[in-house]
Amino acid sequence: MVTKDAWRVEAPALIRKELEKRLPSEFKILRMEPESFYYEGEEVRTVNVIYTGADPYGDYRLLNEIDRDITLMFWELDFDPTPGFHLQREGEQLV
Amino acid sequence: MTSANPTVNISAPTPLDWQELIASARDSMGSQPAEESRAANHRAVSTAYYAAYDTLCASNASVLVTVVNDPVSIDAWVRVYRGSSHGHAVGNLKRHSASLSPDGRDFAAALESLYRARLSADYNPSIVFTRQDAERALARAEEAIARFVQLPQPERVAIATITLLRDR
Repeated sequence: MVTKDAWRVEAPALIRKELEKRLPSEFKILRMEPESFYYEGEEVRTVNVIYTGADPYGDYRLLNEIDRDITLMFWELDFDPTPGFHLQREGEQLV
Repeated sequence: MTSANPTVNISAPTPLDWQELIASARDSMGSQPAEESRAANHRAVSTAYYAAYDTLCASNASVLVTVVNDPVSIDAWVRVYRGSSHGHAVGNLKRHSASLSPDGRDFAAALESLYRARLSADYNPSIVFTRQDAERALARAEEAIARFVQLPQPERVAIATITLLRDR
């Protein structure tokens, strides 16, 4: 299992590779920020993907296919709990 | 004076309709940029997960309690419907995903992804879900549920046992 802090290095690299391979080249990743929090003793892992350039939301189906494939890849690689990713355009902060 | 043969009202359980849940979430988000609300976005992400989980619970009950026509069977149906827990259902589907069909595996992956998003939407004040995030989550739920309800009965029975029972 990929536990403790190893996921904070490995998961962002895998997510970046998949997003850059499958989204338009105008979509540019600036930073990957892993974070986690606990809810009732359960760790929830998320990699915040800070991007600029093209809007990745143009095709929900493609984005959801990427999300599914990344989830299945993490299952195969035994990441537990499974990290997810959250897209955030550079400059858009808490409202 | 009471009747010697009182009428027994038997009402079959009627779980929420997943398509109505998703439609209500879309309605609550509005469509104009000026109407965008972080609260509505987060509620919609939460509803996307709930629509998938509730469909799973209703499927579990329907495939395990196939005749629902008296108080005993209604009680059994409701007991199965309420029998799973979020963490166990999501985690055990993940552990047993290799035994599922591609559509079953897709539902398992969607359920986990939506569950994680739901926890973030409801309990992580550091994250902001935009309308696009919410619409994406609703689309994910819609597609995964549509495939799930088409799964053959034996696979839905298998999923019911996976999500309800503990591995020993």
